Amino acid sequence: MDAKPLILIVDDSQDTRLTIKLTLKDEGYDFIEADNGLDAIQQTVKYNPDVILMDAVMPKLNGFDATIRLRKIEQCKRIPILMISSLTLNIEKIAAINAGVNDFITKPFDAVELKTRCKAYINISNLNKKYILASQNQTTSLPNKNALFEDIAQYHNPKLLLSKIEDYELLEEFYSEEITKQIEIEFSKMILTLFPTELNITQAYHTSEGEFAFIYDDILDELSDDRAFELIRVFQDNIKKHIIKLNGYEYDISVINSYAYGKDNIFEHARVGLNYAVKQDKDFIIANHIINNVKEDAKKNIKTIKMIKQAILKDNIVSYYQPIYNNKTEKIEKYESLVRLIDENNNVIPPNSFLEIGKKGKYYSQITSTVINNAVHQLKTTNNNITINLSALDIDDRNTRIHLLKAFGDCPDISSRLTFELLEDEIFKNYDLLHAFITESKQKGIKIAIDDFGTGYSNFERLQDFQPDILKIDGSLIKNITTNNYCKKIVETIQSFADKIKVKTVAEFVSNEETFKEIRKIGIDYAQGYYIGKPSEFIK
Amino acid sequence: MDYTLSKQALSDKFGFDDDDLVMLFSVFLESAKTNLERLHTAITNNDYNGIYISSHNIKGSAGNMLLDEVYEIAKVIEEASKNEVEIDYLTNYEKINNIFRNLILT
Repeated sequence: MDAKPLILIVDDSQDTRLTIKLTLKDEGYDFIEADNGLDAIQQTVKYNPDVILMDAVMPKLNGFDATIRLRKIEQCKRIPILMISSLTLNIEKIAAINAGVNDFITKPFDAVELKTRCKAYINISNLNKKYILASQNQTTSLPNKNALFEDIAQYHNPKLLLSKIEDYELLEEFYSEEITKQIEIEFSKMILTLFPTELNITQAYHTSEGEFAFIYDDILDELSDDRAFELIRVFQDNIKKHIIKLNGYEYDISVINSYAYGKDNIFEHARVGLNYAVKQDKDFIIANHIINNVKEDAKKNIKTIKMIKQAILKDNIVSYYQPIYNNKTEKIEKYESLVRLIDENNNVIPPNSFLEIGKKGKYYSQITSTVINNAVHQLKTTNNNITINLSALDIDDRNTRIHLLKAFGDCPDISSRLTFELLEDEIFKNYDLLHAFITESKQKGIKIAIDDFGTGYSNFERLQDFQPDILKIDGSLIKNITTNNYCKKIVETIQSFADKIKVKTVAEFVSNEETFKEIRKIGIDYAQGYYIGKPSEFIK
Repeated sequence: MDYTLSKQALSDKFGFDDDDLVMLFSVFLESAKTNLERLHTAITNNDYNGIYISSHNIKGSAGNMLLDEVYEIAKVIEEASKNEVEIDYLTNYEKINNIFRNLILT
């Protein structure tokens, strides 16, 4: 801060004030004055001086009483007050210190003493201001997370409400950062008035972007969960009814609330609750109720990641193979490779137990790498046709793309027996890359199959981009084909479409003879499922 | 009879330059005038509190400006009025008033 320090001089004697000003003339300060205690308070609140020089005896309100009142005002609590007076009695000095006076300058005063003390207290004032900045939010000037933590520590039985403006990030995108900040400021100004008075909330904390905290000390432990729920509901309804008006525009704000209690980690718990509420699309959550579940889930995920890591180290990521039957030639023509994990107890773990977690960790590409290598081995050592599943994550990964094309690209005998199975409704980061990859694969003779077609966001038009050779009709349609006429019609339609674009079809989840007969009747080219054969480690 | 306030003495005490001293002196005179008027009114009305406050102010200002005589007299008035003792306030007032009427800065 390069502004000059500001000193407030309070004395009913004009020549005393002038003498002080002249004494401090060359110290580099700005001055404001008051001639009584009441005006002193007004000036302090208005201009926020760095130091106050206060006379003891004054009309309207004397120095002692003015000090007492100032110390009750939040922003004035830390301003150094030096009492200028001819007080000599200890008892009077003690009374002054109890009132909140920091130090004394005796009258008639010594110029050097006055200058030295002012300098010292201005330094203290600067340190205070830095401290306050560290505990203040920059947009709204409300106390921030640091201040919140300090205050909670003083509470006996803290109960915390964390309120987040819903879709705050979208607000910024839609309205601009500047306006969103203004919305935040307006919101913070009126938020306290929206609480039911029973909760007696007198302070808002601005803990993060769009996030505010409120604490209540339930010393007598009278606030039950149910009652808290009701009161926060009222708060939420009040927010819904209130529209923020800014510059002639109206902004509708809704808020997600997370309520937590218990002194240990209360803020972390409230945050976990908030994240959970956002994910679950709820507008209110009692964090304590879900904390255990979230902790359990986190533990499970860590266990899974450990399991994956172990399996990779010990080479326990294996490929199982499920036969695919050609309905025309009536022979098993190819095998779909399916990834499995063998854990420490030799259990065979299916991909839905570890693949998603693996995607979040850094082991996913290593899993894919193993799948590719296993497939290469199969193709090189046998004459079988093999399909492998590739996800958007695989294709978006440059190293995986390179590995794929290198492993399979060189030998046409290998690549002509290989099929890549892709999920058509996955979100690919870069469609140009995908397109290039598919084109290059097809040039080498590799076939492309679209997995799980017919459900989800299956899109006939987008199919072109994939240049498919095969459509795998989603198992959920096939398995109901004999019982649900609507499903049957969909499958018939897909077959008809496949015929038109000259693409082969595979029916998944063929689990019994009736289904098998039905799909053959419809004209589907291939069958896969438990009726044909279960995935197993070895190809017979 | 002239009462002189020594610029030099004040300059030694405060370290202010000439212009500032002159300004301070005029403010001092104005302040003193107001307080003297209040003192007079208070004495007339037997208002001990009023006597106390105004004499306290005069004492302070005078002490600041090295006007020892005024300081001493004002002190007497202040002490007496604080304890609501009956003394000849008027005569004391006259003494101070007289000094101020003849005061010059050199």
